[in-house]
Order: sequence, then structure tokens, then C-alpha cells
Amino acid sequence: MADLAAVEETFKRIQSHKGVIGVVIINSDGIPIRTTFDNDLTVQYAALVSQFTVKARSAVKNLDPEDELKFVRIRSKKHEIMIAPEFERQREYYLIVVQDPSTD
Amino acid sequence: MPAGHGPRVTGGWGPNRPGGVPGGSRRSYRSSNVRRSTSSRTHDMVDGLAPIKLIDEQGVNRTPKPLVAIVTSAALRQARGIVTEESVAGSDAGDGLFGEGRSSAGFSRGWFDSGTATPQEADPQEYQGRMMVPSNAAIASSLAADRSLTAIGGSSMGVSMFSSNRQSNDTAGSQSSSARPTGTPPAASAAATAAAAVFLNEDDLSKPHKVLLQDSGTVFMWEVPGVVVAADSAEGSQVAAANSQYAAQLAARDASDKFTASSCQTLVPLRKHREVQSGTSSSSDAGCQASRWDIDDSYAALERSSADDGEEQLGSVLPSGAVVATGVHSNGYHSSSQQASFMRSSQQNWGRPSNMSAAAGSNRRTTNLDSCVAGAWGRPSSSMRGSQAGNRGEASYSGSTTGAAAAAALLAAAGPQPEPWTRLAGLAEALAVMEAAVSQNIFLPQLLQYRDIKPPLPPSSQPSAVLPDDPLAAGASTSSTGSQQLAVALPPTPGMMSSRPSVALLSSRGAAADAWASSPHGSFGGAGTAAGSTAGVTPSLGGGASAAGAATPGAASAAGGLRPAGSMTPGSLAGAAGLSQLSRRPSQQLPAAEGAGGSRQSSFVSMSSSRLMRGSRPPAGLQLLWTWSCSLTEGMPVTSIAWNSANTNLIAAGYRANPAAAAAAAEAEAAGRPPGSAGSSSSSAGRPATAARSIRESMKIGVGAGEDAGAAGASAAAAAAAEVAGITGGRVALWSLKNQLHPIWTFETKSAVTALDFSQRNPHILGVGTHDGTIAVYDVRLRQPTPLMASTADTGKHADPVWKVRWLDRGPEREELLVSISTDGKVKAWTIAKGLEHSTLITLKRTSKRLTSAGGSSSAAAGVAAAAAGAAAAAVGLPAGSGAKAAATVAALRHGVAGGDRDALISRNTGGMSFDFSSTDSRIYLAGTEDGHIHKCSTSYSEQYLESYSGHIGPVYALQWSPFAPNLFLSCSGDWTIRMWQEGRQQQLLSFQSSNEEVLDVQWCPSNSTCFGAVTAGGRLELWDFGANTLRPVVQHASTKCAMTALLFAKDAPVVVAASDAGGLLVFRLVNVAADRFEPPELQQTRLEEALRANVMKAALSGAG
Repeated sequence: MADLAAVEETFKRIQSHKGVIGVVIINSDGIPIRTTFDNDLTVQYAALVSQFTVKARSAVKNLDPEDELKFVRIRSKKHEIMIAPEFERQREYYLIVVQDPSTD
Repeated sequence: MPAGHGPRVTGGWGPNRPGGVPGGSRRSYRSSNVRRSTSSRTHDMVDGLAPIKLIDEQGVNRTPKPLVAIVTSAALRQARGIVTEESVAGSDAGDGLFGEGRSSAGFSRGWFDSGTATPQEADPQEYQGRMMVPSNAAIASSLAADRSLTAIGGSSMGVSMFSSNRQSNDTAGSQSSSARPTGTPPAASAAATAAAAVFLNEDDLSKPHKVLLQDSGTVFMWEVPGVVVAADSAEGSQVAAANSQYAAQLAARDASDKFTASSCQTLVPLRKHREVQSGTSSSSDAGCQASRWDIDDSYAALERSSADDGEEQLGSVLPSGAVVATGVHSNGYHSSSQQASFMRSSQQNWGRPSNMSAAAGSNRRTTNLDSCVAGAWGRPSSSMRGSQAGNRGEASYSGSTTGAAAAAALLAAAGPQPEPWTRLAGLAEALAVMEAAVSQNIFLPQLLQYRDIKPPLPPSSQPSAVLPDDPLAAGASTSSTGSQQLAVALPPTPGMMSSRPSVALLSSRGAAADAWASSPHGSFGGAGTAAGSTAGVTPSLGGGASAAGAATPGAASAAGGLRPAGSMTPGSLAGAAGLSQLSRRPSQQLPAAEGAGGSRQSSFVSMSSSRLMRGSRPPAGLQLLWTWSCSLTEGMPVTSIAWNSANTNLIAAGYRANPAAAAAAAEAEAAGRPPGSAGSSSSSAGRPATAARSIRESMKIGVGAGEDAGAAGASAAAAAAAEVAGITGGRVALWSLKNQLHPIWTFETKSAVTALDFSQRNPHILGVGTHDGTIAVYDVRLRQPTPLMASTADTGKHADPVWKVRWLDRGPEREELLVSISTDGKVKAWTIAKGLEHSTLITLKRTSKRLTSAGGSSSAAAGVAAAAAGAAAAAVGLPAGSGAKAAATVAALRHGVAGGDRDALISRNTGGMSFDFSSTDSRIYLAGTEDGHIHKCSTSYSEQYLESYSGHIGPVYALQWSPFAPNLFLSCSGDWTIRMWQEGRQQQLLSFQSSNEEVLDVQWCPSNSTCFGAVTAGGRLELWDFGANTLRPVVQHASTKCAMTALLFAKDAPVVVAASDAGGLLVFRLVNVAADRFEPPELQQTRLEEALRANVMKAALSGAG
């Protein structure tokens, strides 16, 4: 078990990295448990990203049932949405980071 | 009326109830004609009329059968004597003909022994049977229902009562089934016959009678649904005509004999009610939305609660939690308050257990949510306790709040917990992956350059490598960006300005090929480049001034040609300034061993030869990609770096505590105590070589500080004193290409890390040498900050700082050795197979042989050391005794160094600073010592040196064998020089010096045989190519004002990593440094030999001259 303070610290550090627009953690019920976005955007990300991730995971699982989705990067014109999902029961969550990679 | 479905009726009989509901009733129709036909078949003709048959389209006999078997009046009268009481006559008959029959015999009860007459099918052939039985069955069922033998009034059903004449019944039954095709109503006739013939007696009463009741299907004979049509339509007129015709018919009926009225029974079928029982399915919804203010509020409350004392919460917080919970309860689905309560209660669940139990007491739903949340966080024991407490609180809440309070008291012991989300299992790993992804996004262009996938940026667009806080450098970079890469060596301090820009320009001249203008780096045609090429092409040795004079207009014109006129002026000015310094430079700072003119000549010769050798090679350069640094390592000087042997993306860096902070701490400590006690504490550290080490440290720092040794020297001395006091710590960080922003792992060490290396054979094993002499071995896979094994004073720990460790893989059948060297003079080899065991390879003795030529300089160096030591002693306020001791040590050192033949008073040993094992023979190694000697040793002999190389007059900080020539090696020293040696020759082949700065590390470039890199205490990174120039480095980079302590070339990338005293690992892309990719190693070797021969000949010539 990693140090809890380190987790919090890593979270804050990611948030402060260049181009990072926001970080959201959604639990298995789709409830954002940690977010740096405002309410509306958080809800939007929570809804859309969890849907997308479940779809992506089903694609992976259909290709190889023993496989598991670990990371998704969505590169858009403006942003890069990175999702690190965890599907294991009892600790399901989605970690979402939105970054603008073009900022210099 | 529109025709329904049913037989086509040719007789004059009509429906009793037109427009009946289909299936809604059982209807029987009877007309006089029908009655007559049936009676005529079975008995005598009542009216003498011929029977009418109804034939439908299929030819099936559809003649309606009478529902009631009409018996003749005589028979009825006969039977009447028996059943008279139970026969009730229907009195509604208005027909004279039927009056008698109906009133007397219309209802006769029939007792059937068996239901043989019951038809089952809807076959048209069996139509008659079906006609018959429903009435009987209906009556029988009604009889069974009420058990009373009262007659059924008002119905037109006939009831035939059979006696116990089973024979007749049976035959009647069989007859009825067999005689169906004939179209006769056998049951009726049989019943009539039996009723007429058989008389019941008393015996019949005692006999058992079986009655079988069966239901039958419903028969629809005529069905006319009601029709509503518009009056003005075509159909409307037809319907109206039909209606009027019917009305006329009805009106005519009363006056006509052709019509007779009879009633018939219509049964309304029982509606069945089926009861279904099911439990009500209850559903509940729970949702949560956290808005920013909710989180903020919750956090604020959390912080407040953690700040508060735990005991106070019990009373004060309980009501608020309850209020929140009940608010949810009454609000039902109001989302905002619900989310608020959810957030709050879940937060308080962690921070303040009393709240949660209060909420649980008032609202179960909230409790469930909370316990769910608690479970989801995977909190091992507290969640159990939380739910328990919740249950308890809930149970006792109706009575009193003492239960909740007790539960709260149960949990009050649990301190403030961290955020629940941080407890998500695996989140740490996910965050690490995420940070790596973010970092790779940020550094994607740099990573592509690191991997040599993308060519380095053209110099004009390169980020400024000069110091941003240096106004002169900034001016230069804005005025002539074309020469920016070459002007990177602008001084960090204005005091050194006179020498270092010229170095840059000279180097540019040296490396500049003839045809730069045609090179892809067209923007290099700035002032500096123009000056360089002009100067380089000019073969005459008319002096730097004339060269500068010739170059200045060229620079101006070049700049003017390339730039708009507005920005030209500062560029040309800067170029002129640089060139004027160039003219001054050679007379100032040429090495004393070489004549000024000769060196200048030789430099030009080497330049021309390099041009010949390398053709139109574009200029070399360095480009800063990124700096591995983070808040943890900020300000901590990097002391050593090592690549992982298996994962080339991984580099380990060792740090020591910030000397400034340590010095501040030491000063604070000294201020707090009387000087005597501070001194005694420092001297009571008890290590024998403490004073000597402090001198060495102060000397190193003092020399590194260079010109202004005043305040810096004092602080350095304070830092040295802090180190002596042993208040330093260290850190090891593992940096990866995957994450430039944070190390993938880091841990602290008790003492400052001075050396580290990854094992070759087990790449996860990291050997670390620290300042207190400890050798520790870590397994980086375990991620444990404690070493697997570490040497102690009992197990052969070095007495002094370990300056280098290196794993030595001696082949598969022999164990891997960890070799360490320390200033206590010992070179030790450690094995880790059975614990950390060591053997001393050699104890470095102070050599008696000393080259006399170096004597003067070395005594001067010792003088510097003594001065520094004195400064250190004065700065920390050592008491007189300690100062005297230090002075004595200095004197002894000086005596030992300068006296030569005699042994030192205090120590016969000399401190080891570095070593390197030969790549061809793993027994042979070089050891560089503090007093400037380099010894070639063998692991086979622990008492003597194979060879000794003298020349350095400062400590030899680094040594390395050439990767291309097995007998060639480089050394760098605190005497500002880098020297190249050859096995078998006790004097150096070549010496390189670019500045008055200690050279702290040197390493061969793995991709170019004639190239090596060095870092200096002044913070400069130099790349030398002695195939091109032996006087100036081809590239320099002055990154920071802090010292650069180590450098490493990457094995598989055109990259060099330099470690800075400021706590960063600077990663540089080498631009045009590596040899051609297709150049075979043999060619590299011959190139090296040629360059060596040429330069050694030149050096010999100049030395002779």
C-alpha cells in the first residue's frame, strides 16, 4: 500500500503539470469523488468518459477475454483525455486527466 | 338486419334478442316450427306439419333441436303423478298450443347416471348432442350448487328425471352417442320414454345414484352485433328500411297466429376472478453530486475537526450531523441537500466518527451509503467499526441518543483520516502512469530528439541555453541568435567576462568548417560564425588583433545581410565585443607549459587538420532537453549518477543534503551554544581523518569558488563544518525517461550519497556508497527505503567517504564484485552472496616517488588547502586546540606532499578518489588518489602498484579507460586539467585545460573515439574533441552557476546527462558530436590513433620548442 500522503501529493503534482486542465476521479457509481473541474464539466466528463471507457473495455475484452483495459488516451484537436480505469470489483474507479498538450 | 354468422333460416323464426353480445350469454331459440319438427320425429305429429330442415351451404343439417324434450300430454300427465310437487310450471306461456305442455312438462328434472350424453366436440355432425346437453348440464350444475330440489322458475329448460333404470339410461347414452349422425335427439327421446315408462319405487331411494356433471362448450347460433351507421349514408337508408320492416313485423306479430312468444334463458357466464399475490417491489435511488462548495465545505469542516480536540466534537458535532441526515430524509430526492449530506457524512465518517453515527441514527439510508462508501475505500478495520457504530446508533436512537454517543465514543479514538479517495487501491499506480503520460505529452518533442527520431532543432530556434539572469548573455542571445549556441559559454559572473566569450568564439572558429554557409544550419551565419570562419580561413598569424580587425566588418556585413537593419546594431556590437576579447585572450591565459606563439600555431594546425579529417562537418553543439528535477531534490547537490544496466531509460542519482541549509543549521547551532562546546562537538565526532577531510572539502570548494573566496569561502567552510558535524543526509532518486517531472522512486539515506552503481548482472541491485563510509545495497524492486544490507564498523565499513562504487562482472562463473574506493585509502571489493562481505584489494600508500617538476605547483596547491582550512577553522570558530590540530594536519600534509621522500606524520595512506577497471583484463584497475597520483593496480597484488602515473597536482576526481583504445585512459583533476595517459608511459600524452576550474568528472564519448566530455566546478559542461582541437573544447555549456559534479553519456542515445549542484540532472542532446553512424569501430580506432599521433607529436614539438 503506497503512502497515502504520496497519493495526494501525486494528485496535486499532476494537477500542477504543464497543460493539465483538470483531474477527475470517478467511483464505480459514476460519482466524482475528486475533481478539479467545476460542477457541470465534472458531471459531463463523468458521464461521457465512463460510458466510453466501458465500451472500450468491452472491445478489449471481446478481443481477448483475459485481457484488460488499462489506459485510454483520446487525442483531440484541443485536448488529450487520458483515462486510467480500474475495473476490479470493490475498487472500481476511473482516473481522468485532461491535458492541453499544445501549450508551451 | 345485417346477417350474422349462423345457419340460413328459411323458416319464420327470429331472434329473441337481436344484437346479443358474442360469448356473453348462452342463448336458446325456439320457434314453433322447430318444436314441431322435433316432436314430430320422436312422437306423433302434433300439428301434422312436415318437419322443416335447415341445411347450410356445406350441406350440413342445421335444423335446430329443441332444448327441451317435449313429451306428449298423456305421458306428462302420467309422469305428473310422480314428480308433480317438484315440477313448477312456467306461467308465462301465452300460446294456447303450448300452454298445457309447457306448464306441466316444461320442466322435468332428469337424473342422469352418467354423462354419456354430453357432447365434447364442436363437430357439425354432433350438433344435436350439443344442442341438448348444455341445458341439462346447466340445470344439473345449478342443482348441485344449491342442493334444493325446488324448481327453477321462469326458465324454459326441461328437466328429465330418470329412475334407476340404468339399462335404459345406458342404452340411451350409447344411443345418443351412436345415433348422432341421424340427427335425432336420442337423449331427449330416451328420457321421455323412460319418464313415461318407468316408475320409481321406494327401492330407488335407497339405491346409489351417480350423477356426473360436465360442462360443455358455448354454442352460438346467431350473433348480430349492433351497428350504428350515419343516417344520410347509403347504408343508413338500408338500415332504416330494415328497421321499419322489423317494426312492422313486430306490430304484425300480435295480430298474427304465425307468431308465438316464448321465453328463453340467457345465462350470463360467471366471471372468474383469479387472485395473484406478489410482494411489492420497492426501489430506492441514491445519487450524489459534489459541487465545489460542497467539497470545500467538507474539507473545511474536516480541517476544523482535525484541528479541534476529539472530545469536544462529541457534543458539538452530533446535532449538525443529525440535522443533515434528517434533511435528506424529508427531502426525499432533493439532490443538492442529499449530495451535501452524502459528502459531509462520508467525509465526517473519516474525520469524525461521531457524526456518522448520528446520521446513521436518524436515517438508515444515509447509513447505508456511508457504510458502502466506507467499504469502497477499502478501509480495513475502521469501516467495520463505522458500520457497527452506525447500527448501534440506529438501534438506540429511538430511545435515547446514548447509544449513538457510545458509538461515537467508540470511534473517537480513531484519529483524523486522510481523504477517502486516496485509499482507493491501485490509485497510486494509476496516478504514476498518468503522470508519466502527462509528462510524455509535455516532453514529446524532447523525447523524440533524445531518441534521435527527430533531428535537433535548428540553432536559431533553440531555447536559450545561456543564463537567463545574465543580462549580457541575454543581450547576446537576442542580438545574434545565430551564434547563440556558440556563445553559451558566456560567463556566469561578470568578472570572468574577459576570458570566456573568447573561448566560445575560439572554439567556434576551431570547429567551424569552411562551408558553413552552405550547411543546413543557415542561421549560423550570425556574427560569431562569420567571425569564426573568417578567422579560421585566415592562415596568417598576424595576431589576434588583425584577425579581429578583419573579422569585424565581416561580422557586421554577415549580420547585416541576414538581419533587418533595425536589429543589426546590437548584433554587430556584440560580435565586435567578442572579437576584441578574442584578440586579448591568447596573451592572457595560455597554459604556462606552452609558449604563446607555439600554441597558437599548433591550434591553427590542429584546426586545419581537423577540417581535413572531418570534412565539412557541421558544428557540434549541445541542446538542453530537460532537467530531471523535482521539489524533493531541489537544491540538493547531485553527487553521482548511474544508468541502469538493463533498462537504459533508468538513471539513478545520488544526492547530498543542501549545504546551505546544513550550514544554516550549523550556524544556528553554533549561535545557540558557546563556541567551545560547538568545537568540542565537532571534534568529538571522533573520526580520525575528520580534520583532513574537512580540509579536503574546503580546498575543493575553495578552489571551485575561484576568485572570490571571501564570503563564499566562509559559507563553504561552514558547510564543510556542517558535514563534519554529521548533520547531512542524502537521497537516492531513480529517474526515468517516462517521467521527467518526478522520480519513479526516491528514498532518503542517513548520510549523503557519494557514489552509486547498478549491478550488471542483477540490474535491480543498487550499490550505494555514502559520505560516512557505508556501503549499502538496495533492491529497487522492493521499493523499500532500507537497504538489503549495509556495512557497519564491524563489517569493514570505510572510515571515510566512499567516492566511487562500481560493480565488476567477472564472467558467469565468478561472483559479481562491488568495488569501492574511499579517502581512507582502501579499495575494497564486496560480495553480497552471503551477506555483505569484503576484502581489501589494496591500501593506497603515499608514494615516495614524486616528479620534481610538479613539486612547486603541488606545494602551492597545499598552500591553498592550508589557507582554506584556516578559513574553515576561523569561520566555525574552532577553539584553539582544534585549530592547532588542523594547522598541524595541514603542516603535515604540506610536509608530506612537498617533502617527497619522507612519510607523512599522521597518515601513510593516501585517499583514493576514483578507480576504473580495464575492459580487457578485469584484474587490472587504475586508482586515482587525492595527492594526484594514478596507480595501476591488479587485484592479484594487494601491496604494490604495477605502475604509477604522475602529473596531476590535485586530487584525481575521475578516471576512465577509453572504450576504443584499450591502453588509453583519461583522468581529470582538481588542478583544472584533464590528462590523457597511455599504459606504459608514466607521463601524460596530452593535457587539456580550458579554464581555471576544477574538473570534477570526465567521460569518454561512447559514439566518437576522439571525443570526451567533462564537467567543472564552475558549472560548465565541455565536450572535447582532440581530433579537432586540443586547446579548446568543441562545445561548452555554462548552464548554472552551480558546480557540475558528474556526467554520463547515454549508451544508446546521442545524449549526455550532467549532474548539477543545484539538484538537477541536465539532459543534453549532442548535436553533431557522434561519429558517422556507418563508421565501423576499426575506423574510429584508426582515427583515434591518427589524432593521437598528430597531437602527441605536436605536443612533443612544442615541448621541445
